[in-house]
Amino acid sequence: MKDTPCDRREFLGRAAGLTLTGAAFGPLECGCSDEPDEPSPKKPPPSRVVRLERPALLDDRGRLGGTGESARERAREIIGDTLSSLTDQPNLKDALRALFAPGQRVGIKLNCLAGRGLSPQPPLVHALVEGLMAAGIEAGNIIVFDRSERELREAGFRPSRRTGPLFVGNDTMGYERNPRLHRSIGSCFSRIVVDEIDALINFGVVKDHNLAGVSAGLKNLYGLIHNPNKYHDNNCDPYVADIADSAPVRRVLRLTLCDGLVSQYHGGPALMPRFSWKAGIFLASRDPVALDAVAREIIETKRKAEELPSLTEDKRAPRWIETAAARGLGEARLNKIEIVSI
Amino acid sequence: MPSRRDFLKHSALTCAWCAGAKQAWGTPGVRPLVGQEAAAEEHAPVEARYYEKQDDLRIVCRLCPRECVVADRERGYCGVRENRRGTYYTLVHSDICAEHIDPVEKKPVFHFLPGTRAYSIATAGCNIECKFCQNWEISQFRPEQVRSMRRTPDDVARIAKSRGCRSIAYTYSEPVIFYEYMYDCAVAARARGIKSIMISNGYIQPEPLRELIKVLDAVKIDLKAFTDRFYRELCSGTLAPVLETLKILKESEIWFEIVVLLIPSWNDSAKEITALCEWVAENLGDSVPIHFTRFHPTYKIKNIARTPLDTLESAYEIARTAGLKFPYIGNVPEHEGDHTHCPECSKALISRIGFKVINDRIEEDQCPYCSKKIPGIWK
Repeated sequence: MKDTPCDRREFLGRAAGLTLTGAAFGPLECGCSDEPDEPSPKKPPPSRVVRLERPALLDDRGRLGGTGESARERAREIIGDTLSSLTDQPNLKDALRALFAPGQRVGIKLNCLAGRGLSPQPPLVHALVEGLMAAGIEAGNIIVFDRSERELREAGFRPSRRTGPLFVGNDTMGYERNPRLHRSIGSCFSRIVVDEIDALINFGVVKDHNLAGVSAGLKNLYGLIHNPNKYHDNNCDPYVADIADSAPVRRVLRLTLCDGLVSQYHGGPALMPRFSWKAGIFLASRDPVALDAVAREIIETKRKAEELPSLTEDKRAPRWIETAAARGLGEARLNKIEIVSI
Repeated sequence: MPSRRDFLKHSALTCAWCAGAKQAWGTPGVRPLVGQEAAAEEHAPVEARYYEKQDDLRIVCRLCPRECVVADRERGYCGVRENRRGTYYTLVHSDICAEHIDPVEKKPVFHFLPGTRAYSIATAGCNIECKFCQNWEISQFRPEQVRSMRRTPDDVARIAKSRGCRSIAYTYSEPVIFYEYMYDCAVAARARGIKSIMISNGYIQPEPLRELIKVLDAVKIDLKAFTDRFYRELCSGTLAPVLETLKILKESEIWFEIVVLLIPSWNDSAKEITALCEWVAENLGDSVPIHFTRFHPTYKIKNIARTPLDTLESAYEIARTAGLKFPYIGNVPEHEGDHTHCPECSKALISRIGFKVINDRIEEDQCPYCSKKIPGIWK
């Protein structure tokens, strides 16, 4: 099966077939712009990255804290303020309406590899799910997932396959039957991405990665394929870019979020408390390359402050960010990215 | 030569056997079952051998030439060995995803207990990725992505014995990546008088190989090609470690055979096959059996036609010219190149149809016609 970038005609055909009208497309959609069902205010430029910084909302360990109402309130504030700024909408509901259309099936891919201390914090994910439902996405059309249900549990999520939003692992849902060949990769993609959703929110964390250099948004897409272990040579370049460039990802990726409330500047991808810090940062963008470029800068700045060598000096520069930009997936140059700090 | 009647009879038996095999659970070629019911029952993982601890909970694996540096909670290239807080574990010890009773000729191993059966097992995973892998549905998946069944080393040895198998074959995927399990099975098997055969790509470090050889009885190595380019572009590996493995096998005096899958336009030039055969003759001797087998389009290479018979026959002749005494042609049913001939008097010693031995005339390790000693493990 050959996977090639689509032209405008192909894209429109696919979009019609997949009832994607009404969605707001980021820069992954082959440069095509959408025609939303409802008129929306002025659209922000695609390479905007919102960088929220609210360490005061966290406890000493960098947690939003328990499952109490106060934690949920703080999570709603973080998600709401970030996405409102990203979309120039007055509130979370309208922000998500600008991004997703009622009737769409929305997947949220988490990064739970590091367990409870360095995964998307559950109150943030639940606030996002609540926001999607308020924006008209049916609960049954929301799938929160990661590679395995064991990892979901270890990060504080309870797998659920009955009513309401699904919380499942690829180990339950499985992978497509035949490998999809695209540039440097040949992989079976998660059935969730291929069959079960129309739009994807990629929800990672801001952290160091011993091979990829950085794991924020794009690296989290490794969790969509069955054989990620095959693609860590050469500091994951160009593999990260090629997975993002593949048709299944291009079809669905709409939004990238990164939980950097607790970030890690060295020793990743697993949690190493002595290298993690309460950064209080949350990132959002429709441009996945721009978001990763900003995340890289956050990590490099912290490494410098801690008198560690840069990622380049450590021989693990995330060159795949530039490769992804060269594939037309987004903007890697910081001076070309609109960084909105709130 | 078998008569037409014999041939038809054996063909029918072979077809019936194959049809039965297709029904068997775990037959390679059957899709891996993923999903809730597919997950192997979790049990305590076994610590891996051959790795070194580094700072920040990282480890470096010394099992295969890839030498993966693996961070905490990550896995190596093989996908079946995981770093958990600085300790490296094999996730597939005693969890097989394929088991079957095969004729030993299917491996193919022709000079090792011909006509006997091998209890053949595999786990998920591989340390290279051949774009033409016929068992990619298990070799290129992680343990949790395939349906697995618990089989302890004692179970494996006991099943082999109870089914009348003379050997256990570690096969289908890549046994190097389930090294600890293979080793323990081989020890348990030897205690019951069962032999062990490793069917491998030979991509392993010298030290673990030398240790492993002590408990094995035979090895078959897939020599994918004789160029580094082929290994890098089609297998995500390199050639040199495989050649080193072959030299170590030769030094150790364990029985081993070589298979070369000929893929049109990639590794089938007369120049490359000549160089390969001359290297084998010079470094491994003229008695190592070498099987040239036919490629069929599969996995990531579906745009190349199967190997022409002429190519296989040409390779066979090149091997003979290079002085190799036991070349074979594989994946071509009823071909003369399937048979074993005496290198001295040229008489047919073992005749085969498919994986079935029709006649085995070797007596006391010798040709019955000229008394030439025929290398192999015959009893």
